[in-house]
Amino acid sequence: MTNILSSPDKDGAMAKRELFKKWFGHLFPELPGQKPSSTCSCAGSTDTSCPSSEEVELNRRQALTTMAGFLGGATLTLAAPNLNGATTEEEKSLRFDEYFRKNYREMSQQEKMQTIERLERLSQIKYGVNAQISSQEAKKNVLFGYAFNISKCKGYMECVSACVKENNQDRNSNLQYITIHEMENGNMQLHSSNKQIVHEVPLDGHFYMGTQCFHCENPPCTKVCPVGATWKEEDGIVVVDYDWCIGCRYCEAACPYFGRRFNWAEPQIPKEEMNPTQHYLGNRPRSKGVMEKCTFCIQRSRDGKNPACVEACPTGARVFGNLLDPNSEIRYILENKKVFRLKEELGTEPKFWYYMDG
Amino acid sequence: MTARPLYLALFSVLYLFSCKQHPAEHKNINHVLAKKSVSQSDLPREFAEHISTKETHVLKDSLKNIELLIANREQKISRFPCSDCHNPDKQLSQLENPHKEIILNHGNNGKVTSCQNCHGEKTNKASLYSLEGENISYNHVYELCGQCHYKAQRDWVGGSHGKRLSGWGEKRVQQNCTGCHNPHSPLMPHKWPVIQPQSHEVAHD
Repeated sequence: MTNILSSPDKDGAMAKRELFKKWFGHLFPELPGQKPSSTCSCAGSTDTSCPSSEEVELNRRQALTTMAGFLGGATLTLAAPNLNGATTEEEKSLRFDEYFRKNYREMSQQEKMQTIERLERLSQIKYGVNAQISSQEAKKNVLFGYAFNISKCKGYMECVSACVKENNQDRNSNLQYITIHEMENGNMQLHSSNKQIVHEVPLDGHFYMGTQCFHCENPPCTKVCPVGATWKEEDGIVVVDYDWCIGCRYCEAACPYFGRRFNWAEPQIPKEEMNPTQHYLGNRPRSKGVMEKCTFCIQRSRDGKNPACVEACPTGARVFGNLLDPNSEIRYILENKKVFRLKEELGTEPKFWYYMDG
Repeated sequence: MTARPLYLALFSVLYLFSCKQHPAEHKNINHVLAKKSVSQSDLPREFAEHISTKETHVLKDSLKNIELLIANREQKISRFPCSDCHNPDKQLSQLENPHKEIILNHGNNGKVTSCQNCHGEKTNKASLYSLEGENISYNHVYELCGQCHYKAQRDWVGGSHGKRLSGWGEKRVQQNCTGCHNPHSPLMPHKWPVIQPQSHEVAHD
């Protein structure tokens, strides 16, 4: 009798722990009560009064966090995913499964494949586009770096246009990752720059300076994320898991360079302009209420190509490469040119250098 | 009285350790870099069409071992080869001058350079000519430009000037000087930006 009574309880505890691990595992890497049960003196006993190993290990603090976790998990389980706009049963089912998936960093290879399969099908349903979503990981011995020649940039904004097309950005709000600052010669105050360039360029007596996400080696934006939806990858690219982001915009506030963008409305991209070569952490279409930003075109750079902005620049003011390769152009620039970074005193260590000719 | 030998010693020390002008600083790229032919299979696929085997060279920096491929120019020149017109069988004076649209705005508004500086005084226009009168193919125009713009040439080989056509992980293919600059008017033109800037929601500097 006791066995029959205790087993559902144990199963329930296991399920709760699984749920806790699934939702909060990335925040608490060491889950409470994970010692093997063999340490329990009464292992194998059927006596229900004997406390299980988990209960023995729990102290007050752990109990409270676990309880908070259970409560949070229960609330989230009760809260139905937003399936507004889903027309077919298939779409509803796919979106439901997507809603209850893990954080990308906790997924196994198989789970990544499953989620990508769902996203590709959803892209077909929603946009009528056969997208190929990659989950390619960072290469070994690669650390990406970027250099920007302020003597060469003429403010043509070819980079911005290429970026918008490559990264499937919202055309309605004219969302852009790159800002081109028009600065008076001798002035280095970014706040007094002209960001609304509506005249022929280059303007005499001015120089141009592009800002975007600098992929800091010590990024303040990832530290403030309350849910662990943004992080720095092995090759130095700071990425966002768009489907884990809760849209609190803490990261946007923490970034000292205005590198992050928020989707105030559902992004609109014409079907014929959609770029089908996508990466999970890169240019796949985002939804309303999430953060996004430059990813050094992760779908291109991890494939050995240059980001779209570098390829589009007609003046060669943008240089991209591997900082760990001593023969790369970026290393030549760092070794031979006068370089500087923005707001160096903050200690964010951006991997984005400005340099000038001479 | 004792100060004079001291000044002399100081002066000689300063002279010995001061920076010196090296007259050979603007030496031709050939002195630093070696050309070598490459096989078609060495080329990145998407550029193989633009860079033919017989005309491609690899520049090899003796110091840093930089290998780069240079994009060809000849097939991009609309009236190439020049010998179609510039040959002894044709009476050039009978033809309408097709070069009249060229405005020379190079080197202090064209006051310094003349056509002959680069195209030579010889009748054979199949190649460019260095200041010493040596043939330089249009594909290797960087050798010609480097005679004056040696600093830009050095940076072009190193990678801080000019444009890389291939991706960071592929074999390096570098745009030729005249791929970006109009040699007759090398400054970048004035034009309208191609896209309207985003209106920023937050002033965040």
